[in-house]
Amino acid sequence: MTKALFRDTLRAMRKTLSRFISIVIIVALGVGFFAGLKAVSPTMKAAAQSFYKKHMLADIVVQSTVYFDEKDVEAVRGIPGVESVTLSRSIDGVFFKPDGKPEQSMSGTAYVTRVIGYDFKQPVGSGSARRNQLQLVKGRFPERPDECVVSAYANKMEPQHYVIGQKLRICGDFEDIRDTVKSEIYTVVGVVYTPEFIAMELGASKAGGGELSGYIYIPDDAFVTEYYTTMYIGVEDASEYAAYTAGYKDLVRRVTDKLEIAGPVIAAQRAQRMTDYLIPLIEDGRKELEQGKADLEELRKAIANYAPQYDAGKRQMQEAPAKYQEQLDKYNANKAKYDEAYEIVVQHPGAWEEYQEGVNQIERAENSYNVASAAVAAGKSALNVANKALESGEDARIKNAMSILALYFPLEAADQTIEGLRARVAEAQAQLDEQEAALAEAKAEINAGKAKLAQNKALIAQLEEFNRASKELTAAKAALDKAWAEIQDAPDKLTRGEESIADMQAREITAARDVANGERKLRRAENHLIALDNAQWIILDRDEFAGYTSYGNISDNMEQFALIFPALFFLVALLMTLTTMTRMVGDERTQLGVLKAAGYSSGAILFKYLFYAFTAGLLGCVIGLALGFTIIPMMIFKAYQILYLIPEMTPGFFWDTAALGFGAALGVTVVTTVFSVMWTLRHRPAQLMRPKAPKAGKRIFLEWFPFLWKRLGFNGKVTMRNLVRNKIRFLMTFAGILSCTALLLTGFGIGNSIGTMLDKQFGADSVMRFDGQALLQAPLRKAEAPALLNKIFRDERIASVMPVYMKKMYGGSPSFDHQLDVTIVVAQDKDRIPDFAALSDEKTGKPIPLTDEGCIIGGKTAELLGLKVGDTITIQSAGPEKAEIKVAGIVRNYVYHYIYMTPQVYERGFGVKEAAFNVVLIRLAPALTRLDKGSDAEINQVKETRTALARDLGDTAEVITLVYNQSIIDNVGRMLDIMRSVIVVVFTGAAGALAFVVLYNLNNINIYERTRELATIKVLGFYDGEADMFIYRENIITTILGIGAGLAAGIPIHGFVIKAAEIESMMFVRTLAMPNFLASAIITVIFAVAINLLMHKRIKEINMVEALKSVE
Amino acid sequence: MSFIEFVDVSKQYIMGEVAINAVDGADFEIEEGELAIIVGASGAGKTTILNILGGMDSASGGEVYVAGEEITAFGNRRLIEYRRNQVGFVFQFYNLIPNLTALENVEIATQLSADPLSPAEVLEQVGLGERLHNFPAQLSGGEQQRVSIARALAKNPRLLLCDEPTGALDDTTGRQILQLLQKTCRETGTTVIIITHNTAFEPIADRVIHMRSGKITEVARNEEPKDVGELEW
Repeated sequence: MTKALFRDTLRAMRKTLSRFISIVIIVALGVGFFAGLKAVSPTMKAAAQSFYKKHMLADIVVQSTVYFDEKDVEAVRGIPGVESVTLSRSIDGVFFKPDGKPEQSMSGTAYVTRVIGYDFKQPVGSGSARRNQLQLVKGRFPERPDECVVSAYANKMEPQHYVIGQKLRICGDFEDIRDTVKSEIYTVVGVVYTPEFIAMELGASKAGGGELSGYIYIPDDAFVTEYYTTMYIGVEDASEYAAYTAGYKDLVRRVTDKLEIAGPVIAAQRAQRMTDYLIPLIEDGRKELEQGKADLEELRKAIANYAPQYDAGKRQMQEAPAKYQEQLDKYNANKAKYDEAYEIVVQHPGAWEEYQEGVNQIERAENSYNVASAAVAAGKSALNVANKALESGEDARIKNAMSILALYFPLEAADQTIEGLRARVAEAQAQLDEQEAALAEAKAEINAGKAKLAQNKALIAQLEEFNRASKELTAAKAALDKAWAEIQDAPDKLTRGEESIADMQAREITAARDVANGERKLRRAENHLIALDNAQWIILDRDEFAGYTSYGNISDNMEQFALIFPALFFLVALLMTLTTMTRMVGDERTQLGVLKAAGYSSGAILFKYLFYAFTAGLLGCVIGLALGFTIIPMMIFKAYQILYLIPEMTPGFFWDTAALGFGAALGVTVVTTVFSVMWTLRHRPAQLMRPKAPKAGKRIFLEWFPFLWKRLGFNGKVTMRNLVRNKIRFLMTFAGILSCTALLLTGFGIGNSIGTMLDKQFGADSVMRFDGQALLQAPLRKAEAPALLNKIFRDERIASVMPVYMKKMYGGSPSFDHQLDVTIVVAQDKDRIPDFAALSDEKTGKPIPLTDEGCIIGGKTAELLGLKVGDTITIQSAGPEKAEIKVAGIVRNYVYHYIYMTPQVYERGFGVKEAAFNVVLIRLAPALTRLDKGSDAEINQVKETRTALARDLGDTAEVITLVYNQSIIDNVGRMLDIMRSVIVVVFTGAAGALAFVVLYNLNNINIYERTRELATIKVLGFYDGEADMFIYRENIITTILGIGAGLAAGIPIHGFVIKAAEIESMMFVRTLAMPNFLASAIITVIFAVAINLLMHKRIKEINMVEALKSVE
Repeated sequence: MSFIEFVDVSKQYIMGEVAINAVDGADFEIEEGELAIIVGASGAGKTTILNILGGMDSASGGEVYVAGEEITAFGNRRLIEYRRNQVGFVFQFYNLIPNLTALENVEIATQLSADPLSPAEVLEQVGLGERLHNFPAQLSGGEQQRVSIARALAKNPRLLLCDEPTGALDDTTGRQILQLLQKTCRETGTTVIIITHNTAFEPIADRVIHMRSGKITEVARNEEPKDVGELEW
């Protein structure tokens, strides 16, 4: 290329800048979307791979029915291909809210949190043998047994639970978690990245409703158990293969196969050790349980005993006021008496003292009298003895009498003779007479005193009465005070009574629960012991890690889009380049002739246009690759970060994709250029130098139908002929509009598909007809059901209930390469299932009955597992339960994978004797079902009533919690909204860009080519509007045709895209709604009108003088 | 008052910093029914005169009266109406719409006009009665120009403006066209104004206006205009 030609090319670019830019943009769009969507999968996988590598994600996970110990590690390490073995232990517990109620999970079951042990002190990094390493994001690692770290993902998504400083309470599921770990409450001290859980859905758990909702890491030594629950294995050289690749899978499978062989042997050895460990444990447990039962019995007795006591107290309290009144009356009576007596006492001062004096005197006198009279009596008998002795005259008797007399009478000493005695007797007689006189005197004195006393007798009686009254009053006062105190005291006493009853009842509930738990635990342990005979390993690959597989799937899904978008854009790019280059060559026709005449070869001339097209294509390519490789994967990655925890992604450059993009873009631009230039250059120079004959008008097909043609009118004729004359341009506009409408329809359709899904699943008249699920504290047997339902659920707020067994399990089939999270629903009453879940045919909507033939699965479940009616689905739990069940029906279902079956099918399939129910489905009274109708006040009223019902049920001993479907709608809805807006923005943006580039460029060329025509008609006297319509009429027809075709094309595109965009647990609504069509058409019209308005300016600016110029 | 009056009309184009006087103080009159020729070399300003007279361009100064109305005072819409109803244009390069047949190309104009003639009849008059349904590409240059004239005439205008109508045609054909224009003028009483650089046409006109460098140098009246057939060049 000569310098002049080169300069000429640059000038051409500048002159036709808008056309040049249009080609650049359309190529950039095509290449950008192609490269971007192609890059999504490898970029996202690379991000995951680097995350896995950094954290040393285990390649194989082994679980064992008999757990692991260090001896197992040694055994496994010896297996060829095994690089490292890490043991881990964990326990699943129920997460409690600060108010002491169990938290609920997103799908409404109890919120189960896994407490995982992790040795924070061991070395980490690529040199460490430890698999699934944690990486601290903020805070610190735990140092004490009651500290934990949480995942960055949970930290982001559930700040109400997982923030530093928060105390988390995790209780055992029907067991004391402290049997396993040291603490029940953990303080969050740090936030970590962990590779084990990268998805929002964490998988299954044996605890609670079977669904794992959260997890924390605690120090490994906080576990008190001696065994480990999980074994993580690193495979030699596995880190050299990228995750999700076939090479990686093959490498790991080789080791897995070896483990499958070694597993049973190692497990059997472990089972022996385990047996030795379990037997005493069971024995202890049994004893403990007996004790617990006894305690419970006692407690129940105590409650029974306490009741009459309490009733007596209550009665007493009721009677106390009457008693008090009685005492008060008594007191008042006494008081009257006392007052009366007191009056008299006051009138006779000293009387009492006098009386007392008199009484004393008499007493004293009586005492003297008594003494004296005794002395007289004794003296008389002594004298008698003496007189007798005198009569006898015997010496001895005289002697004796003398001494006796001496005892009673103070006598002068004398001879022991009769004379002496005689003298003494006389003496004594004299004394005795004296004494008798004194006695008489005393007697007289007494009588005198008594007579005196008798005079005051009446008064004294009164005084005595007063004394008594006084005493009685004191007593009455005391009694009254006591009665008062009783009245005061009674309520307290009663409250204390009530408290102790409540306390005892609470203790009874706890004790009853403990006993039930104990029984369960014991049963479990016993089952365990039985299971030891059948010790086995469950060997899993990375599929086990929540989100690992689905992350791979969703990144692959995006690749599907990589075909649709770019195909549309490239088609348009091709047409656009063709038009532009044809136009350009046409413009420079004369120049081409001159150059050719001057001796330039066709090749040299071609080179200019090639250079032009190549530059545009290259520029578009570079821009497209630069933006495509970065923005699109980033946007999609960011959107999916709501669902997956892969912290960061680095955009990558993919040579193969880039080369394909380059090839396609340059192919399109260069080939079309060569084609259009060579088409012109085939003429001889002379021909070229003459103006090109205006393109001949031609009769069109329509003109053979005069009855139609005549009706068209003049404008219509021009329009129709123009459309036919410029087929490429017409096709291109048509393709542009078609693509725009189709993309919009797809975008809006996705919005509709995602947006209406929840409503179709949970809304009014939807799949899920029940309003909430009550989770039962203990499994409910069929026989117990009526009693419980009557007791707990007979409530005017509840319309109907049905017990079901609901459990998260895994579903599988031979044609499905991993396990699907499913929820089995065993309905107590198969005939009433339509009241709670609409089982209807996917296409016809006809109800499908639940029978004992087999289970009923959802359409998406069937699609993923590749099952038809009559096939067999494999269902297994995280535990040992496993069943193969015939599929009896496939029904409409949008969210999650529900598998419905009758108790009989369940029992038969899982080999269970009798199905027990763990959930009661509830339909609310009609007034409580609508949350979207009525005034705010009414809605609030309904909400409050619902909350109250949940609280009332949760307060019973039988129900853990009641969860409304509304909460699922709220939770899932939030996530889907984000996804929806990303997709809608991408599609609308792409549609807008496409429509704009195509229509603008096209109209530009159209107007440019027809400048002369437009100038002429203006000279002829066309008004502005009429001149516009001269151009617009074609656009209007093309737009209408394009919209129609776009709507038609959008339907399959939407169908394809929606399937590609679906996530495993959901089936989007795959149909389009009328408003989607309307909105797509209207927005396309708006785009078209906007561009035509821009064009109006261009048309208006056309100078009529152009009409006079010569044809170039 | 004459049918057309130019009163001190001037037109300036600003090209960067230079002002070019395309027309400078043009004063002339043309009577109704006359065949007038404006003649001058390239760049003399004759096309500008035509543009202003045709309502396609505005004057920088002065007044232009057509049938007593001052068209230089017209707004955009009135100018369009003026072009629509009173003016017929014949272009040097015919400016037929390639997508329309001869008849349709005439119809495009008659549609606009308040009082049109029958398109087919007009085409008949210009000698194209047999070629009504041919597309421009199927017609020779002279035939195309005839369609162009028919298009202008079918509007039944009072004023027919022709910009170098023979410029793209060979002598014989050009002569036929001129003849057609002269005939039209004489038979329908339409005022015909022809712009040309070819002084040889002068004898056929009723009035000849000479221009040079934007100025009217001479306005001459031919009392006895020649027929086109007598013309030699």
